[in-house]
Amino acid sequence: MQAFLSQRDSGRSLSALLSGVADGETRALAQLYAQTSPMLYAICLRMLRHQDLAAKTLRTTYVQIWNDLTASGQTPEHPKSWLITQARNAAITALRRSDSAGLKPELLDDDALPAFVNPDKVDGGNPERSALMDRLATLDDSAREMLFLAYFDGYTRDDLAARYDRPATTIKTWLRDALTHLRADKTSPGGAE
Amino acid sequence: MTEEERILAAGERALGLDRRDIEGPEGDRHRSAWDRQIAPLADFLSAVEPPADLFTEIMADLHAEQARLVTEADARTRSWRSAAILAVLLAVGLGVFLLAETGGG
Repeated sequence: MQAFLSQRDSGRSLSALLSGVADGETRALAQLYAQTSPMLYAICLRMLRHQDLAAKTLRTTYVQIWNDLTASGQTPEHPKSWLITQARNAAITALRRSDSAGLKPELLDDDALPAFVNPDKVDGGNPERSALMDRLATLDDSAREMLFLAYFDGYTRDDLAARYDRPATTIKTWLRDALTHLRADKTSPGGAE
Repeated sequence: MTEEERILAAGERALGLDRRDIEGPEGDRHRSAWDRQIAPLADFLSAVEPPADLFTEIMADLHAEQARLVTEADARTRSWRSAAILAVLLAVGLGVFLLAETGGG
């Protein structure tokens, strides 16, 4: 890993690194990986509950990031959320594929998964995160838990229906109510913006 | 589907509950907005270092892919070259034939 990095890259922002990747700089990819892989790997590991599968999915994610950016030559407007979305999409695809193939790999126990932390204690306050947490706090416990199970653990509506012993249509209604509460600006034509 | 329903459907897709992507640019815009809005959730997960050699494997994948693309490009170039040579040979053959025909007639 160190062989790919240089001092010059160490202070570059995510936007600058993604721009470097779009220009085909492998050093920028190395620095991007150094900065973001622990976060993206945690997402994959939490969702897939399997180290090898999570590592394979992370590998696919960075190859895809490279291919997408070098092909388009453009960088996303919101780098961090774009990267998270790439990793979650890859993890969800891997999860659904292993489910549909009937694969039953030996899954990690809960205590071996990435733990939940209070991010304010790690990197201080973040206005967007605080706003989201305020809205999450308005949800009842089961609605919040359902959102977390979907976001972090890749639960489908049917998984949630089985867990809560309710029809999938009821789960859909509950989730839509929860999403309505989560919307940042209900008057914006862009919806969640 | 109303605008409100489209926005909520995009939220479901952002959560991973619905994999259909059928709504076009407007649906993509709603989906991106949701992606941005819920992305801070990832901060609540403690970071985990991936396996040490993973980046080397990623670079190997990229090199392998580049090599494959170069090979494919070479193959395409070779087939175009062969086609061009064949076309030239046919043209020369036709020219010789025509000359022989007109010279002999």
